Amino acid sequence: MAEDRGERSGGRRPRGRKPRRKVCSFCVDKVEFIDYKDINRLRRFTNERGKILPRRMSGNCAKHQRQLSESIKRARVVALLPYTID
Amino acid sequence: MNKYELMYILDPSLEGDARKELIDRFTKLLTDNGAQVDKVDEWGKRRLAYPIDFKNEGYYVLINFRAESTVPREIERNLGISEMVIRSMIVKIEEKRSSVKPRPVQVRPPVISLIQPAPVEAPAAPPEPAVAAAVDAVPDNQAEKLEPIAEVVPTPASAEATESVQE
Repeated sequence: MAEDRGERSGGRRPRGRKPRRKVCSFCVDKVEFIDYKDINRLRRFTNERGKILPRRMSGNCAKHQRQLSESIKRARVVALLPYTID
Repeated sequence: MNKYELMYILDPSLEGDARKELIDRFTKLLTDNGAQVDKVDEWGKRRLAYPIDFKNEGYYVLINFRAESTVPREIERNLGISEMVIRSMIVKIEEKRSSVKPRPVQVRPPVISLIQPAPVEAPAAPPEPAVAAAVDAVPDNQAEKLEPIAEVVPTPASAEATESVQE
């Protein structure tokens, strides 16, 4: 068990190159509040089915991801963004 | 007084004067309830992201207002009653985070009260309690300085955690 764990932490990335560290695009733009009316921006964080992208895909920080998901949900209420696309 | 933003969607079949009248009625309802209307922004007809009541279009109206916290509920009730409003939403606009009270800084008055009686008991004693007070004060300052750093530290750790998830 202990050996297994040691091996895994040692060879962290057995194959492929190291993926580039994603940075939160809202932090880069110094966005304080994410507006639910800013559809074009919000749409970039939904997939083609209208689902909210997870943090590991978008690279957002926790604070902005929280605000973003809230804004997307608000936009859905007033039919600015779809709940689903199929 | 809080800041709010109201967005409602009117039936697209409503045109001209009838529409204008309805919008004025809601704006008047706000002022009658003691709200200060800052801005009325009519977006006009827009395609809905999904059909509501089999309608694919809607007339969007956006209103910014300041009011007491009891007002939004009353407005929402009235918007719900009206047949011509197909969707409405009131959002509170949060003030800047800095308005939140800063954490109270710990003050230690007992330390001072302990030093004062000391000279009365023994004249040789004063230097020692003073040093003790200084020693006491230093960790206190350090603790305050260290705290923000301690809050920053977890970030790289969590970043690593997300990295390992990506693998």
